[in-house]
Amino acid sequence: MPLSTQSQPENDEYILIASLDNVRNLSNILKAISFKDHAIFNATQNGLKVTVEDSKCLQANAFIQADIFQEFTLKEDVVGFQVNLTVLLDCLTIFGGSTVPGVMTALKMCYNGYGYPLTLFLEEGGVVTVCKINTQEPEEPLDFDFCSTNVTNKVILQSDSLKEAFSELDMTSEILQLTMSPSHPYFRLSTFGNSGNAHYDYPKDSEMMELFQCTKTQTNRYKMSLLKPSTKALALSCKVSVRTDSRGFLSLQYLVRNDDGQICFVEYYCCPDEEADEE
Amino acid sequence: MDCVTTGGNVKVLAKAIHSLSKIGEELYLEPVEDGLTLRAVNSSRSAFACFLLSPLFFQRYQAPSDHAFRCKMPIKSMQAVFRSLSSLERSVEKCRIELNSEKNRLTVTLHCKHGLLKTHNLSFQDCESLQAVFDKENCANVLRAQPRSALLFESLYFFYQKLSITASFSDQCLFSLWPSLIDYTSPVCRLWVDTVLHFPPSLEEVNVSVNGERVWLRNHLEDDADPSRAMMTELCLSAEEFDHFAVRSESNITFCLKELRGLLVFAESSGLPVSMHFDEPGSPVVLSVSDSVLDANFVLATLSEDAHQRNHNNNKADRREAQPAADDFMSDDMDSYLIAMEASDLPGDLPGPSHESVPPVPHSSTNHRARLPSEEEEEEEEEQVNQPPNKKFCSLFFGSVLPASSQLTNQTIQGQEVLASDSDDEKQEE
Repeated sequence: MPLSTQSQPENDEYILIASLDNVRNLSNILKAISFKDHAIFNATQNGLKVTVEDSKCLQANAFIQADIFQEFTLKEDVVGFQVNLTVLLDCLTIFGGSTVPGVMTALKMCYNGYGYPLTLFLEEGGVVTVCKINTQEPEEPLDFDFCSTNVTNKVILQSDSLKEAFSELDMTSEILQLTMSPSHPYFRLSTFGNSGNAHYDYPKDSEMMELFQCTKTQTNRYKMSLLKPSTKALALSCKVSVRTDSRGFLSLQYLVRNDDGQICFVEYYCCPDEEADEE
Repeated sequence: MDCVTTGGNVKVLAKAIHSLSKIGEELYLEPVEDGLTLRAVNSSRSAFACFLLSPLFFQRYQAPSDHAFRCKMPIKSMQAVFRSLSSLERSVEKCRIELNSEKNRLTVTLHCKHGLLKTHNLSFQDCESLQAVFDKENCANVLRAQPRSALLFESLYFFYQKLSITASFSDQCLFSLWPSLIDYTSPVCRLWVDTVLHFPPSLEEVNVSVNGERVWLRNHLEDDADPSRAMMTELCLSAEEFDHFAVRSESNITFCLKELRGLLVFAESSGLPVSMHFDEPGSPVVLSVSDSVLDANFVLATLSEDAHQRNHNNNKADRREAQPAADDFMSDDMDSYLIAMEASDLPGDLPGPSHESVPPVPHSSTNHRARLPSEEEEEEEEEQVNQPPNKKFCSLFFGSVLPASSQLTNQTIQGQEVLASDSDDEKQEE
């Protein structure tokens, strides 16, 4: 888009201004959901929600509350747009990884409404970079209709133990099977790969298990390719909540602490795999 | 079959498996009365490795009672179970391997901290027993050294690892290197290799020659390697560096180093002494590591004399070189060594005499006749058949092996015919 044909909007023409002293507080979390190119941004008074979807079966959301930003100004109730997340992340990390401790890149993100690009001002050590990224009409994110009343099984685990399991998952298996039950095996991740099958069992009384609320035995299968990206969010998080509802839909919620110790959330929703049972 | 390992032995078991994965793509597993054997062989049958874990290695060891059980599986399957050594060390408390005969699966269960249980049900194939034909006890030459101070074995690292070199040397060994890469760190009697050196891809073979007092290790260059562009490296180690140095006959063997990587890594981490048993060219070289509960043997085929005329000449040439060269080594003065080498009229030990900055090293694979550069050597080299290295190595063994006797790996089986031979050239006996 030729920028010169557009008049530069003044500060008070922006309908969204979000500023951060440390851009990593945004970029790190966005990396955890960057498995697809396009992301839907939705800003409300509460903060920023970024959504990425895959094949109509998987949805990832990152929540960055308003109070994480040094400045968060909204001129409308809801501001929404869609951008290329890969390009956005490239811009946010344009100064590269910060090798000097204490040196941070500051961000001011501005948007002045439908049809305008997303403008990023990034500054590090006195050097300022301005990026303008084209925006698109935001698509309506899928509604997985996952509400707490339908939740049949819920556990909260410390991420460390799941990290190990996820890093070792047999990638020759097309599906990841999740069994949650009030009785043995309580919480089990299973794979069925070329060399055989593997099971990871977490007992309900393990120290890693912070909460265990399973009402009925459920076994559901999910496509490995859909869930594998969630490993990034898992790596950033300290705790994860795993919930399934009566339809077998899966909700993974990750509690992430950013560089300043503030809490953000990432969640993944996944549909169960409908193919016929094997083995 | 039901074996349970606990504590640090789980990591040893994992290392044994990773070790074997450097040899071949399949893991042969056979529990016998004497312990659990884990074996692997490479595709050209020129390298074989066997780990025998005695019943004492396990907290509980129960071999199959009714009939002999043998299986093989892709080694990657087993490796996946023991993928991360550091997490094994941190979190695995117990490892159980049992045979589930109804479902025809080998079940490996890892009991980890915090109650986490990892269960792997691996499929396997039935197979014949895998056994190499070799006789360790009757080898003419035996060298043994601790891996830490084992210059021999660390120097083997030096050869195969793609590392550029930071090395220190003792007053008994000497390297020829790109001078800019040498960094003399300490006079301590150790070799230490810690950065990346690019060897030409064909350089996977090392030549080891011994006399009564010394061992020489040299890189073995391919016939068609251009001598002026090749880097020659030679290490000489004195008998004193070894815990045990018994050389009954001077010999000069060449073998593939790549497959040895697994054993070296295993030996270093276990801190156990490594023994090398060898004879004349053509007979396999056996490297082994053992302690009271574990016995590992890596058997590698060596270049046979028949395959190459020059090796024969080499033997003589090397022995001739050895005598005068020894004095030069003692002086511990690189300059005087350079002078000595240039002035010497030992036949043909200067493959690329145009490079004066690089001290020339005896090229073990060329036919030494005269101290003239390339032409003569090239002619000779052309005579040689251009074959990939593995084909020159004798196939070691195989076929069905008598399963009845307890198959400890250092038993000799005389007069066994090789049933499966995968190279047209194979006429030699093993």
